[in-house]
Amino acid sequence: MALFLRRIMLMLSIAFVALVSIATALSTSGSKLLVVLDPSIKKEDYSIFFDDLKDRDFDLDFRTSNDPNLSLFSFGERAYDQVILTLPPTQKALGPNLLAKPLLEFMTSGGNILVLLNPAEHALGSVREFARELGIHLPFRDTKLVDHFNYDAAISPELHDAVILDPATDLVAAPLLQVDSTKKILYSGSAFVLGNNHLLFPILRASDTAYVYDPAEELLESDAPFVSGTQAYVVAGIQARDNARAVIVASSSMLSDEAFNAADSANRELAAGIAKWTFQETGVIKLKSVTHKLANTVEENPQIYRVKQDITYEAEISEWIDDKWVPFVADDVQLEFTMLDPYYRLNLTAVGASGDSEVYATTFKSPDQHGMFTFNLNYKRTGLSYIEDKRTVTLRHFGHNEFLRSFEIPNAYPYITSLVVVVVAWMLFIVLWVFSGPEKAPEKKTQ
Amino acid sequence: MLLRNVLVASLAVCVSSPLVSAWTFSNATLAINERSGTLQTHQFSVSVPLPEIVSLPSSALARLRFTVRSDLTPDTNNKPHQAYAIIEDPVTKLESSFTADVRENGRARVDIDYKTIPTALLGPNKPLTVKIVLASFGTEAPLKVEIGQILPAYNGPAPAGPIRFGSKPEIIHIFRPDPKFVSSAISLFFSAIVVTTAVALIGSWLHIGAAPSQLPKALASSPFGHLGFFASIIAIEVAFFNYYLGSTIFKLIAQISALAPIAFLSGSRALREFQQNGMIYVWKNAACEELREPTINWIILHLYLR
Repeated sequence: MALFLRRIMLMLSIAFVALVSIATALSTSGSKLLVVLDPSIKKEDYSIFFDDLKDRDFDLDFRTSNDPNLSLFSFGERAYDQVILTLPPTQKALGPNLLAKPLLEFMTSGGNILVLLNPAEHALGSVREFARELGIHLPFRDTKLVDHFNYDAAISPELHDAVILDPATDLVAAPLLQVDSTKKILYSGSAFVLGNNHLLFPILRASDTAYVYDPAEELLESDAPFVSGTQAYVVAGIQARDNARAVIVASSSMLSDEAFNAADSANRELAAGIAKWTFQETGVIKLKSVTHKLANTVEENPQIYRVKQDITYEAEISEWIDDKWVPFVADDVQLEFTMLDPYYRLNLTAVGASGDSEVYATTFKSPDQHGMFTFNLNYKRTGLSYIEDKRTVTLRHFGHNEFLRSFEIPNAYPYITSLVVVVVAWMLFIVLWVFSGPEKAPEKKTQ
Repeated sequence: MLLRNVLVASLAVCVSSPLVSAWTFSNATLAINERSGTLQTHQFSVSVPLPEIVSLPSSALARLRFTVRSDLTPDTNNKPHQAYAIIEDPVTKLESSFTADVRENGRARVDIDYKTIPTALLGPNKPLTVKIVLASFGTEAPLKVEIGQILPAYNGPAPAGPIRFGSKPEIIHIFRPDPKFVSSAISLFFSAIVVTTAVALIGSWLHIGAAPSQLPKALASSPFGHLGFFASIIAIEVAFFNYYLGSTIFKLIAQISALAPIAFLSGSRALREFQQNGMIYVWKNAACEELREPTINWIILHLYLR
């Protein structure tokens, strides 16, 4: 349901953009882009891809991996906001500045990485280690993805390694990537395996008849494929807990001008979609504000509530579309009211837009347990930025004057009446006793 | 690399026939084998799938045997590069493939062992579709055909799957039950008993002849004393009653501090009036004095006798 609503929202928001041209989107995380271009790759072969990036206001800095001045960090801070890595065709290292550890540190400080594997040489040791940290298992050297059912007969009629992928079935993240599903995606290279990490964001996979084989080992028959079927992924990403993104594309040739210019090819839109997700242009949401208060009162965010009070919670969430923040509509945002365990887990309803964000609200009765409770808004969905917000409040117990009064309890009626009756009867008795006495004073007996 | 490609390409183009051929198989059987023997055997073909859903017990394996032919002429390559049996969950679209062992004469064998089926595909009453895929390099048309369904046994809940993001089930706190009260009718019934008792008591006083006979005379001699005192006592009771209903302690103190001097003054006036009019009976009358001496003599007598 959530996917459907999100799809509708995205479709509406890009309705005015022609499908062929690339929307003017800007990155929320910065425009300094480093491209580590291996000398075996000619910049001219990827001119369309880089021009599209330049159109979206990125400052491209082209370096080679053995550039001595290349460093991801400068004086302890990130020197770039995004990195595109391309890899050499033979087993050579990328240099000490691009080992797995600096790449991971780049991600933990908020930078985004796009890795384009070489179709022939799939991983250097350092990149394989980096991918393994993310939960992605790269294939071995010289392996190839083939599909005897969906291949481009013009390019590889015999070897079937120019695979055609169908955006309708093979594109896992279709709503976020906005690719025309009537076109096809051309791919030639290998494929990797994903682990079970829930932070992974699978993007493009092979069809169920494809498989990866090693021409050296499995020349005659495929008896132990590295991966086969829909478990073979060609593009996959990860979004770390600090919202830094990394995407691995199993073959850089998918982004080349040849692939873009082929007939009926969706590669250009796919490349734009992948780049936009990686560089924080799409799928970016943020929590604008959170307020909680007693229902129908004005004071916001008090520190103390009482048990059994009606509390209203409101959160505002925006989404970055093209170049501005707009309200983000979803139906699966949840609030947890927790003290060690959640006492409430409620679906927040979208009540309406307020400025550039959508307001989500709910009202509930605070539980009858006193203690320190937390409003926990934990909205993590694959492909969208993670939102987590925790606010702690005190829930105090009833005050001595907040309990039921005795006259409101029917059980107490006999006691109250007996109290009143005693008081009244005592007054009557006093009057009767004090003012009673003989009519005359007693006379002494006289003789 | 180039040589390898040439080799692979050459393997694919062994066919001498100019016809475009397709991969196919024949003589296909599915047998459910356990260590004790074969439980059941079914036949199938490219056009005729298995007649029913075949169940696969947890100690068994499903053995598919078939003969692969790329076309009907001899001297052809009978070993496709890809000969898989793929089992797929039709609901979640997850699949797992098993490679076939194809010999030179085309006889192929695939074992789908229950133990090698991934736990993500197992579940209660979840039949899995079985497909056979035969394909190779070159221009021969590949074959992908669904040959039937198997139902692996389900031995209780599998270990929980991997964590995935998504909305979780709603939790609404269940409050402790409110304290239960008795119905007002029963309560008022007991209040009525109390009131009845009080009425009976006051009635009995009046019956034995209690009457405020001295009241008019006392009031005449000191109206402010008696009336004032009584009224101030009632007023203090009313102030306490208001405090019970919910006024603050400060209001109560203010009211009491206003009423107390009135009570004191009027009370002393009333006592003075009592004293003047002989309403205070001092226990000095003859009846009491007479009673006192024998009592003391009686006590002293008993002390001597002990």
